[in-house]
Amino acid sequence: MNKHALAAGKIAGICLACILLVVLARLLTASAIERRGERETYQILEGLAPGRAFGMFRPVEGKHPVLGFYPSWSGPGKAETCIVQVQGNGYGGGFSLLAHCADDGEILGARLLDNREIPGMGKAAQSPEYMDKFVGTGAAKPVPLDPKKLSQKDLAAVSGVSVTYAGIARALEQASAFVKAGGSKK
Amino acid sequence: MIQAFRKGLADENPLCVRLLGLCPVLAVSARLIDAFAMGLTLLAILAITNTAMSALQTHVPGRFRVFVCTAIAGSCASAADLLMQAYMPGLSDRLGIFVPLLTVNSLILDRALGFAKDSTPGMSFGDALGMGTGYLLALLGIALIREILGSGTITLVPIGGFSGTIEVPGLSQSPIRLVSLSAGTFLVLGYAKAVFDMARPPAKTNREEDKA
Repeated sequence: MNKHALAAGKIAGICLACILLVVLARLLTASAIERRGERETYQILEGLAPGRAFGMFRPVEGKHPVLGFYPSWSGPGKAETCIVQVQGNGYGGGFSLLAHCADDGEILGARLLDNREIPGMGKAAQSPEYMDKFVGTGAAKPVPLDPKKLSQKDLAAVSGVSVTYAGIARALEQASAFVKAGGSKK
Repeated sequence: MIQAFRKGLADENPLCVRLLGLCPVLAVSARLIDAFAMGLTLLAILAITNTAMSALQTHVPGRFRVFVCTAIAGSCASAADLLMQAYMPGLSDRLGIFVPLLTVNSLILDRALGFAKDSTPGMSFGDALGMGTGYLLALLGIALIREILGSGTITLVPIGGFSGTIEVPGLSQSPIRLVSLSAGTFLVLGYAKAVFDMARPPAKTNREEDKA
């Protein structure tokens, strides 16, 4: 019994040392990783709405796929559009994306922010051009949830990544609905 | 220790002779700089894991060695991944999941569970340095051939006015694309193994050993 307890104690000590190593690395790198994330987010925001000014991120309370939004202006005055951060479910993991929406919910652009799907599965969706098929939808024209309604060219682009496509379409529809319901005005 | 170091470079080269650790080769050997970073990371993790496993051999019961080895290699791989994410984001994006996957790299498991089991920490460290350096050099060789033939370029670190990419005249306009694809890795590795096998004395068969 004592022999087993001793071995268990030693293994627990080794595991603790391993955990401490990871925690130390995390502490050393946390601020640099956070700064990198902020820089990348800002670059994506600039790419989504070039030449516009952005406000601070406003988080949305409660359990909602919409995590928050950045109000956006083209000049002085009230916010005209907003960039919504929304999360969705892809293949074997989630993702979050930024959707630039007009007041009426029309999607003006979108970009993946963070992809935690099985590596390689949703790679195609990471290119900015992938989101072009959703631009102009969300208001008068509904978000194409069913890939069968896409043009032949767009259909070829989503072939093989249909789970990712469905997740992105649903997330964009939720972002559009959030803006239409006045969520960004509250 | 020096003998343990030497055998990893040629006679028991982990990549070109023993075909260990093929996963990173398949993933990152299309660019020289990525191969260098991956080889160096593997060398560091292998050195730490091998030495630690050797030092702990009397403290860890045999049936738990694999778990302890995975825990040590995993924590080192996670730390390396975090450091890359923080200070080398471009490299981290390109190497992606393959750095955390070093936790279960067959070369690390083979040396830490095989060689380190019956060796002193000093010998295990020497073995890890030899095997890791042998792996790094072989990976660099394969990456250099793949990048020159498959892309017509050599990618290094950008410094000052140097963009970091050298274009190979002729090949940069019309590269042999097959070599830069996954199949190209196996083609180049196959030829590398053939060269290593030709250079080594032929291995004795069981029958020859029995006669002797």
